[in-house]
Amino acid sequence: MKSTIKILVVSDLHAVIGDGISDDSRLLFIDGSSEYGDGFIKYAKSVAKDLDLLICSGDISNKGNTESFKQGWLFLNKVKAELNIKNMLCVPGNHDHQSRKTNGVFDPKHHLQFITPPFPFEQENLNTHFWSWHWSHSSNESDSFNAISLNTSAYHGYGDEFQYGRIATEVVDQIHTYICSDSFPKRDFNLLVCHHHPEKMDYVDTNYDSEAMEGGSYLIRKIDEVDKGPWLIIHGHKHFPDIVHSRSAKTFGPVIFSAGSMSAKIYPPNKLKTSNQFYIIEVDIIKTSEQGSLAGTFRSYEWNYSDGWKPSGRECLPSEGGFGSIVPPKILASKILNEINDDTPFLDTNDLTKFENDLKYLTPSDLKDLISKIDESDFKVLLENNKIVQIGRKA
Amino acid sequence: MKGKIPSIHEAFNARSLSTEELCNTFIISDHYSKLASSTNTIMIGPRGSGKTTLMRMLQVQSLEAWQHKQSTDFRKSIKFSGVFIPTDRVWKTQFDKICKKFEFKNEILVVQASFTYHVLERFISTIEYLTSRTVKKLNNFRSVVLDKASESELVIELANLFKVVPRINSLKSLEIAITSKKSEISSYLSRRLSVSDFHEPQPKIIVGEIGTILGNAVAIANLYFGDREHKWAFLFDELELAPENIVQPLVDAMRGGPDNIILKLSLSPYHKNVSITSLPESSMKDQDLSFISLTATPDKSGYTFSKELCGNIFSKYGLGVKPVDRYFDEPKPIDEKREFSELIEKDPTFANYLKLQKIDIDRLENYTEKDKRPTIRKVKFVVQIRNYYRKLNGKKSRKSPPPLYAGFKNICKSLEYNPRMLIGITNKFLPLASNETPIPVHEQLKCLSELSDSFKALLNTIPIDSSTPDINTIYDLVEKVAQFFQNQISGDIFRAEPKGSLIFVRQDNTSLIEAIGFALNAGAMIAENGVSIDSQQVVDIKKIRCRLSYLFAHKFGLLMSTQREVDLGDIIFPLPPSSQTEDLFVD
Repeated sequence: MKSTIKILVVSDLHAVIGDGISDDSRLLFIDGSSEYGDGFIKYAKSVAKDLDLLICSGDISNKGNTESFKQGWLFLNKVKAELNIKNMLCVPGNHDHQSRKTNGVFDPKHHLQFITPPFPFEQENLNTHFWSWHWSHSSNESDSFNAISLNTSAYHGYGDEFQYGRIATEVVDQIHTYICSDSFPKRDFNLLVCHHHPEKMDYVDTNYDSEAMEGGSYLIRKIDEVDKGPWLIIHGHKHFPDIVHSRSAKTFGPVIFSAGSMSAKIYPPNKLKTSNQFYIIEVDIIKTSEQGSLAGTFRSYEWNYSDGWKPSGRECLPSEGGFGSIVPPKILASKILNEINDDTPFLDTNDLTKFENDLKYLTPSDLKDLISKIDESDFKVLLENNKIVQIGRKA
Repeated sequence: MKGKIPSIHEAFNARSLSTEELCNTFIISDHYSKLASSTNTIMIGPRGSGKTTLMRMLQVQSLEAWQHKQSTDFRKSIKFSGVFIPTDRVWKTQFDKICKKFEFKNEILVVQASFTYHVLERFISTIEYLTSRTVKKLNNFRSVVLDKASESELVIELANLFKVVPRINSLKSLEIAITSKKSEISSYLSRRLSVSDFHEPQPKIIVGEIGTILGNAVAIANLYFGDREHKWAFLFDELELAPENIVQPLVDAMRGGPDNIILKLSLSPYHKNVSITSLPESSMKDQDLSFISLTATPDKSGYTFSKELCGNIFSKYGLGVKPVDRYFDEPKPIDEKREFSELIEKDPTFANYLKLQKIDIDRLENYTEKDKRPTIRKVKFVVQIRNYYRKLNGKKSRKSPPPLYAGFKNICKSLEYNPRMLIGITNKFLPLASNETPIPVHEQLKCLSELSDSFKALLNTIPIDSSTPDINTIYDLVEKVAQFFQNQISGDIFRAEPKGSLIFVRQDNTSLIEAIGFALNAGAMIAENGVSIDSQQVVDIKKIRCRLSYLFAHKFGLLMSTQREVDLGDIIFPLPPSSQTEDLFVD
């Protein structure tokens, strides 16, 4: 049985076709090939080994362009093949539906349904269910997780639906009934992949967030209340990466991983906070099973003009981080600081190994909190690549 | 491996290589053995000659990681901990701006402090590496065991000396604090230079001679190491980018400094206002320091090095089946009889020369070392080049270079065995090379031309301040000199010993001295070392002899050998014909 499930996450490719520089995206295809895309594959091969799953949470295309969707979808299949990944989960985003075009368009999702290779699943039955009910259930060969793929842009093309995501309450109820049934076995964890964010992210643009998934909080509530394993929700759309524990009636609710955009040009207000990124998420099956809540780590990689791809140096998201720590930062800080004495005026990575199991699963926000607690106690922390390398008495 | 295009990122710059890559590609040379001695050293060479590689291979991290079969011997014989110190190009810019304005004179100390902190930052980084409890080391080269309590005490002492405040009393935190101090100084200077009504107080800085500060820091560190004799070598790289106010104190510090501090400086051949031996109180050559010159590499060692360097690159791309030189087609050997016969037809001055020398071309093969063979050997390459370029009516005929510059050996010599150029041209050859057929001569010459065109473009970007209107860049100067030398070989009159090197005796050369210096630094001109490789005269241009880089030989049809000298002034400011005498047939 595998001890971890490794997932490569990309999102919001916004692939474009052209012969020069695009204002919208770096994933520009000229005569079927993209230098940016090839560079991504080359780099991903060097940092991502033994992957179990590739996830793309939508907006493969840009502005409903069918040709660029074809290129983007072919690119994702190429990534899967080149990196030897057996399974892929993909959902469409608002830019993949032709929701705002009127000339010659009779159905916003028609071109998605009839593309080759089939989208988003290879299996016809899964596709049939997906396009009929706007969701589908799949699982991996080793039976360690279930996956629900959701189309939050299903209603785009009607009225002003294109402005936000939606899951109808009836669909939520339908999913809830399904996951309560035997058709949805209990697994180590469950994945939900969708394009729009299920909870509002007003903090991103410091403005009221009107794009979130209508029905999102109901969805979270309903999947969370069923005891079929913890949930990891992966979405895109905001082009702003983050990792949070969702609002839940339980102590440990679903983890929401907001993927940043792999290749769309970042909106100017966010350029200082984030960058084009991709991620490798490792769900720790053993720890998840032990504690009954999802635990794992992630690595973020970003792109810039001077270095190309490299481990992220951004706060959102940093190069390394985790999720699922069950030790409150204050208690962890106290445990760590107890190790410091006159003979050991500071701790280094060797000393911190005994706390590795607690530290690695801290989210970036939890890590900040831990550092703050240590600071309050008149100690200081040295970080390298968002990892604690030394803790010691303030000089 | 035809069709293989190497990545542009494989263009060689030692500064940006990882320690592992550096160690894996390093080729041991006599220069390295000499540099590894426990003496103060000044190493001189143009850009791309390998100075940074040699320096970096002396730092402790490299010697620790190095796995070559000879690495153990070097680890045993090297008796110091090397601290590699790259030069920050910003210093010179800031220094020049500060020095230009009188009201900034108090800021000179701040700029100097910026340099001092840079050195201290690297020093602390090295101490941290030597004492590290977390870095996995195979060889433990010069590693020191230091408990944490002692480390904290050491940091307190050094932080007090350096006027910095680390967050915690650890070496890592001290290094970060020094980096922050550098940043604080840099920001302060930027604001100082840009804001007119400036009232910000100066940052708290360390003040003093770099030699004294390092001496104190080393003494404290060694005390905590429990080894007062622990030797440190400070490896200052690319000092040609640093202002003379930084370089000269380092040179001076080489005299009479503490025994456990060794200074090794890497410089370009020319550095204005930096004197090594001219002042009585300055460092005394051979007594305090040794010299290593990477200019004018001898052919034998240069070729051996080139074969290994290029061979390694070829092997990496699946082309290691045979020695690297066998991947290159060779030009045909010179046919003396044909060349001499053809030139006689075209050039009456050559015919006259042979007559004066009593050389009968019908008996060319029969001459021995006791009669005309030495003369024939001396002139045959001049004949070959001259014959290639001259048409029957006496005009120059061809624009493409003659094949005699091709072949692996000649290519390497053309590049002056410069590592960076060798790597550059090898990357050009890779797509053309195959295990079945050698690279044709014309392709070799094409690659050589492309490289020299790139070099020409670079030299054209370096302006010079000369009183001559048609000489505005380094390349203009090179071209003027090259054309003169070209005329010596292929001009109207045959010369058995054409001039091909430069001296700078004439007083009206002054305006061009700096230009010659820049040309030496760029590698466009090469100082000919004469008998002693320890000569300090390379720093004083008026006392040296130099030639054009052989990279221009194929373009201008020049010889790649030692030739007679001419004063630069005679080329740039030629005297009237009546005042010139020239023995055309000097033997």
